[in-house]
Amino acid sequence: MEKNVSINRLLPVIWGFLVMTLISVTPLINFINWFFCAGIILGGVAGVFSFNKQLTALNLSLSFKDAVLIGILSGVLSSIAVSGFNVLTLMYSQANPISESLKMLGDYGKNLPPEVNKQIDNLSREFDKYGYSPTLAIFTFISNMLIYPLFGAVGALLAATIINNKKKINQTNV
Amino acid sequence: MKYLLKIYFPPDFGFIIVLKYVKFVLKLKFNLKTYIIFLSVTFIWTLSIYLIPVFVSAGGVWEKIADYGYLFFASTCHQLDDRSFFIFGNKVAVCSRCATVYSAFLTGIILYPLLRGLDNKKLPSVWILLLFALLLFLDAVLDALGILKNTFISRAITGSLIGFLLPFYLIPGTVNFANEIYDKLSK
Repeated sequence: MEKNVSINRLLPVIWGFLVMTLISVTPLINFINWFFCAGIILGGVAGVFSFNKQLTALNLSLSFKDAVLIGILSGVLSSIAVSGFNVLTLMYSQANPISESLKMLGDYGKNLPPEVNKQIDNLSREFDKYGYSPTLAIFTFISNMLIYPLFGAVGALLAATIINNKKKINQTNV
Repeated sequence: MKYLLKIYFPPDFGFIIVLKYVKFVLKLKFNLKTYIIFLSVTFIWTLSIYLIPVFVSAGGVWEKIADYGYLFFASTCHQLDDRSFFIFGNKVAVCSRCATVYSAFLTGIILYPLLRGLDNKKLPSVWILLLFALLLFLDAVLDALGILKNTFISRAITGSLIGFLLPFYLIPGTVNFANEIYDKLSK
């Protein structure tokens, strides 16, 4: 792809980030992520479509490496935002999801092995003390940092493959 | 189970396997190398969702690893008991739909070179992808709205359709992406 100063590379990343984050933090809509992380994939797709719109106006072709980079960057930004949002929500809700989950499970909690019960108690104490669990927050952040860029890149790659294939078909038809 | 894990996974087992794997991959042609890496990542991902319940039954450190495994996959799946498969009495790390999506995805990747060849640039129609995605979406939404209850079979069919199809778009894309990176680095 030719270098061009008028291309805004940040805008597609922001689009991707916004789509991923809004889908992940909006109640009910975030259930899309239960399907193979479809919300995150859609974010990657949105970012690449936004980038391609700029490139088409300038008659430039879309490269796979730019597309994947958009997906990864959108994913990294979104994972930070979503993890932060989750911690803030837990702190303001003043709820202890661990003890609530155990209550919901009812008798199931009593059947857990002592080691697991000990770990659950530790996490529950963290929630009571800080309003959130630092251990759980750190682990969720790390897993989000892996999952969001990975699925973002998958979405971006999918979009780039489809867009380039469509362009190729159009060129051969002309 | 604990005893078996100790026999099959001595401390240096992982290191030897990784070293042999890297040596093997480096000898391959570029497109095949890209494909093998893609296949390996998917294989590890898919294997881990089935290994986690096995780790739970192994107990001790393995169980702790499994706990973090469940937590890791929690952000990608609801992991509801009544919608999941069980191995050795323990839940698979993701629900039945996700498990079939990942398993079909892996099957699609394994069969791709035989069905299309690694140098293939042709993609299936986007409409097929949209149709399969719509089927998966409808299966879930109609159930959520209480219009049509989905079953293990309907979830498995809709999940495996989309899972099997995705590699037919993603492998050509990954091969092109790897070629672009290689060209950029070799300049």
